[in-house]
Amino acid sequence: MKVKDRNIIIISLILIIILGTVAVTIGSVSLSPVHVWKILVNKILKREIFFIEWKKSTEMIVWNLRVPRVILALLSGAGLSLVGILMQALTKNSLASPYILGISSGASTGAVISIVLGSILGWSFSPGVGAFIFGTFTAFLVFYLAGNSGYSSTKLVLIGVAVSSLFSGITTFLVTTAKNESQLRGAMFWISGSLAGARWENLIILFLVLICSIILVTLKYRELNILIAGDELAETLGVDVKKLRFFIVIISTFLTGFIVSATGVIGFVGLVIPHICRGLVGSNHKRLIPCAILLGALFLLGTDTLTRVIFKTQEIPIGVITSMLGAPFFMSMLRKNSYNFGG
Amino acid sequence: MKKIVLFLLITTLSFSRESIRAVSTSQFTTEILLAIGAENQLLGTSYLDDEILPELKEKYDKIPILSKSAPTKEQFYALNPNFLTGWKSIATPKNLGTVEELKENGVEVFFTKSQDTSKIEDIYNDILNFGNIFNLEENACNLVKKMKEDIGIIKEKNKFKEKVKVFAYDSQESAPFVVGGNGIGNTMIDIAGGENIFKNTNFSFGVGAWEKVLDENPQFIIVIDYGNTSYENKIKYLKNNSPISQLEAVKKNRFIRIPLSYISPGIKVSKGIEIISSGLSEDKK
Repeated sequence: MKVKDRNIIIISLILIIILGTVAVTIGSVSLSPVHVWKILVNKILKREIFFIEWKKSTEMIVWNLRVPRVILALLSGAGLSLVGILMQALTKNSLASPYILGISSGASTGAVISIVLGSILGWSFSPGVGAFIFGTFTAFLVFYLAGNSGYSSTKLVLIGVAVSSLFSGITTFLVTTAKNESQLRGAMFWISGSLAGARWENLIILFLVLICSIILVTLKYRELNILIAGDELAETLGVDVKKLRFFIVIISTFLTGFIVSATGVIGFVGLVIPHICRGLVGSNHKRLIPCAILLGALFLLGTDTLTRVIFKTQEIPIGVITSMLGAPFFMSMLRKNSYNFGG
Repeated sequence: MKKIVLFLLITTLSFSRESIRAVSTSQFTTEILLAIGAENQLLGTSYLDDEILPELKEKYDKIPILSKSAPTKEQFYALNPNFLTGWKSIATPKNLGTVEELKENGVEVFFTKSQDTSKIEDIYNDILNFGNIFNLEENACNLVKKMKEDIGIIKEKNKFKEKVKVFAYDSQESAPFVVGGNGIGNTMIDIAGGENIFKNTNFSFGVGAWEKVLDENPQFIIVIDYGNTSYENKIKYLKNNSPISQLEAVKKNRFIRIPLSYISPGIKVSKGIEIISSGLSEDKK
């Protein structure tokens, strides 16, 4: 079992490196992989190790556009999967994910509100900030509304669905009243999700938030395992369930907020990847967490690369690919493996 | 077949031309109609993108504006119109209904061919067709003649000049919305002596990629001015936060401002070409 786990990790890491290089090399302008690596080494070491034999524009494409995009794909894929695991552990419901619980649609409403408000008030308002504030607010709202009876999983999912439709209603309203085409397109970015907006300056915060969350969650893996077995059992085993729940809510809320504010709404990753990983390594969080982080990162990197290369001149919304690839795999996984979710 | 239909349409309309009661739902058709002197037959307009051509302003102000964007069916039929022109998207079930539905309700529909093509000749033909329909042939002919002359002068001037690489930026930050290869904008850039870096795309306006812009390193950037993001803010973004801030053209402020309606298929194209052409011939330090 352990060897299998190690293999999964090693294979994922190798695939991430290969796919990462491929992703930086191809796109609407094709670049040589040798140049790509030389540029990366020069840039990372901040010295001219390799003689510059490429155009300045090549360097800008690699360093300012594609590398940040690859990193954003890895970070948000990993982050969304981690949030999926946390929410499923919290609710003991295999449907729980930021998308289903309405947090993503709350965040996209926030982004669209800031686009529309920004144009009314006449200053440029970052949609990312709006997404973050509303995403966080929605998460607290959902958990608050569901919280009285100890997060009954059905109740939580139903409230999530209700909140989600409320916010998509508001978003549709705002989009239909949008004053012009460019506003509409700006809004579409947040509704359908895209990694095209990746820039270095936005990645650092997301990276730090993700690393902190991973460390904190990994430290708590035993308690998460116990929580899945049931609240009462957890209490008798000395886990402070209330505190643990609060911890999960805070981490998953902030992480989702930061991710959605960078990418818009990308559904399905947080739902599917944890399930696939449970099929691969079982339900023990010690193994599940690293597996889901790596696989989530790899999955989003792969799908984002596809969105850029299927048509040379135009990008396909990433949500289309995540669901078209993820769903069939998920279905076959569910059919083959009847893993034990816990409880 | 299309020509026959068009001919029939024009002849039937010409018979009843005294009583045309038209609604125009795009800035370019409104401007064509006002320019050929059809203001008395125009009941209402909508969809103004930016400033109406100054010399038409007085005429325009006398005609009721139905809506900023698409008018509703009620607003439309309340005027009792029998002729509709404008953006093609207006004749869809969600807006004023399909062409068939409009016809059943006694409204003839005429859409300009030039909103789908990239040929200046199609704009001329559209104007002449409007002249026919509204019984203002002479005015239409004169307008077309004037446009041909203006464009001819620019063509003559740029005859032997080398083409200059141009990036035409519309809006958006994560991926640029640009002028593509399949529309009037591309033809205008071409006549003005430029080469659109997105000329190989199949859209008139669409989503391009920053990496393509970096790779092509255009010498000039046309910035289309409209909507809620001001020209100044677009320039500020391009200079400070965009992925192309390091390009020579951006650093040296080689921007050409053009309002959206000057790059739409209407009577302003000749002026639009002039704006681009004089922008391109500015000192390229």
